Amino acid sequence: MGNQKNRLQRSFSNLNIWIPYMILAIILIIMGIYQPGVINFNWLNRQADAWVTLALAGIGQTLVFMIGGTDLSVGGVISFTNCLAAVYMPQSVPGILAFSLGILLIGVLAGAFNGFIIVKFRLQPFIATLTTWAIWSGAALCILSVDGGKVPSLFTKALLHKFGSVKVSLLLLAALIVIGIFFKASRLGIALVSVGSNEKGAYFGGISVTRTKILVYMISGLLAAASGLFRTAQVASGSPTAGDSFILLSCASAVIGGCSVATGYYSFAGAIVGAVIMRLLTGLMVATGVSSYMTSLLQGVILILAVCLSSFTALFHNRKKMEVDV
Amino acid sequence: MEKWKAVLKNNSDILGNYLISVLLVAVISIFYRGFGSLSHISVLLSDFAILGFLVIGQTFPVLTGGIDMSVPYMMNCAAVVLNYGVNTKNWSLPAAFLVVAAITLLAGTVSGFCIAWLKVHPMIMTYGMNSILMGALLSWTKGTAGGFTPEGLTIFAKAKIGFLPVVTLFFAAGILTLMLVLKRSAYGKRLYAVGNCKRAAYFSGINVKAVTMAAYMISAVCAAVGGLIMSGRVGQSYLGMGDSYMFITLAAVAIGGISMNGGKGHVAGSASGALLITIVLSMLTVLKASLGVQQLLYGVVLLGALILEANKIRFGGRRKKYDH
Repeated sequence: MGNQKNRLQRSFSNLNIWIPYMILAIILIIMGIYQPGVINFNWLNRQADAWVTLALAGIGQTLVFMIGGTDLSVGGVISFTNCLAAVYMPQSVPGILAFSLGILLIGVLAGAFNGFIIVKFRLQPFIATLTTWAIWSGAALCILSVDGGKVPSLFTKALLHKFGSVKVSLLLLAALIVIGIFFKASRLGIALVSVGSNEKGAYFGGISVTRTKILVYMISGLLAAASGLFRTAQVASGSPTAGDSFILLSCASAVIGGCSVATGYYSFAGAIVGAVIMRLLTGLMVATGVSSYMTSLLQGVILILAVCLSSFTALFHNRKKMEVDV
Repeated sequence: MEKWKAVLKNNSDILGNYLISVLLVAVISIFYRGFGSLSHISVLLSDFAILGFLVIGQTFPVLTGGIDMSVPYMMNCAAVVLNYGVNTKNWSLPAAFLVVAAITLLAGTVSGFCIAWLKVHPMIMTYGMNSILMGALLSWTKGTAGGFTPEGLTIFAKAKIGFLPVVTLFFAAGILTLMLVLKRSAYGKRLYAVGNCKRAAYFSGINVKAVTMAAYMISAVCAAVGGLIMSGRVGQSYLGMGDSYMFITLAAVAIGGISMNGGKGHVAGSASGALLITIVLSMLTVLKASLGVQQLLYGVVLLGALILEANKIRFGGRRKKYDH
């Protein structure tokens, strides 16, 4: 009897894992019905640019969610790196390379700072990263008070380059899925799940909680900076508010991607699919003729529904552990 | 006498905030003549009332250990619904007020319900609610959310007794009411209990979920009142009028001595934070600081206040037994 119940529970968590893929299939089918023949390889190539920026931020957010935190500063870091790249990027090839590396380094440092203040001063993650969001977006506004700036065409070409008929963004997405498989099996990939599910237990199990947390925030910062670079190349200009929409969207893509602290499940592929779903919503609304003013309403509703769904899984687990439901 | 001494000692940093605010005004008025004039002080006081309403609302979710990030569009929504309803839909003023009250209460209830019963993280829920309100507003008004504020509200928001704006007196009454709610009512006691330890509160027979939900409803109503007063002062409403207030309210709450972990601090404290921020804000305007510098400063100030507060707890001996 107990065995059967267990199996039922496992299939429930499995359902959670498959939900993003099912939603994606439904959206694609609806788009296919309303606009037949639109979805093909070229479409995929064009869309991948929009997907990759959000997917990078979403993966970072997924990892941070898994250690029981939130990273609101992705918005600030994306705005800041975008403005920095749009204003100060040099023209020469070595200059561009060095500058891009420098920007990625800034992302890592920003993440390390988040991790440091959260671990050292025991601040709540969402409050601590809220302050760094304000700081980074303030810095972005100091560099560039209105949209503008000039991006070297070489940089734009490099990130929008096509190998044969496959774009860099599409290759990067594929690479991220593969990296994700290896990352989950790595030392850090396992440590972060144990820190997220039981911090004290992980500490007594010999895992350095401090190091794991700071590393995860560093990865999130790095991915946010990379997302800022891609955004710069695609739009070819800077905007001090570029990152603000990414906060809600990255949380949504992480949650829809099926990551859950309670079950200890996360995957890069899920986060990427979550990002794709959030980006396709706009296309879906255009296809079905819904007013584009509804976009932010729909994004909010979907985020909350997804969180409710994943918190039901957690409630299920708590009931098993006889936790008090407060 | 002993009791008063204890109260003074416990609230010394709040008194410090009020003192610093007065000193700041005095010092700047030496360099800039007009800053300390009665007309400018009355402007400052009515700015204080607007920010103050948002901040005392924000205090309640923070006391439960949560956060309300839907303040910007909650106030925007109240202002735009009133103006759009009266100007375009030809509602009467009382009816419009009723609709605004209904909408804000509904939004607050939905946020509170999802946070308390469905266990959605407060930050995600309220930020999602912010986004939902924005989308709803845009699609209802089709992006033309301007319109002038009805006359009654403008007169109320601009009325003065001597140099004291009526809205500031109204705000003082608001502080007094909410202070009584916090310190003298059963709900206040329950709120502090929930903020300090949800589990213990649950076992003492408190309905934790209902208390949490009510906190978000109070916050929504206060944000709406702040939005209405602001639209009355400006004379019209526009989309994005509340956007800059997201960080400001949190910074004011943190400066006002309210613990972000919940269960500590009160409304008079958060009002002191609001006063200090109002004055610093107008000081930055006088010094012609850009928007970027202002935002950077909010971040740094908020971070500093949080770190100070976190360290105070640790020096006070409530340190955890094990250290990572």
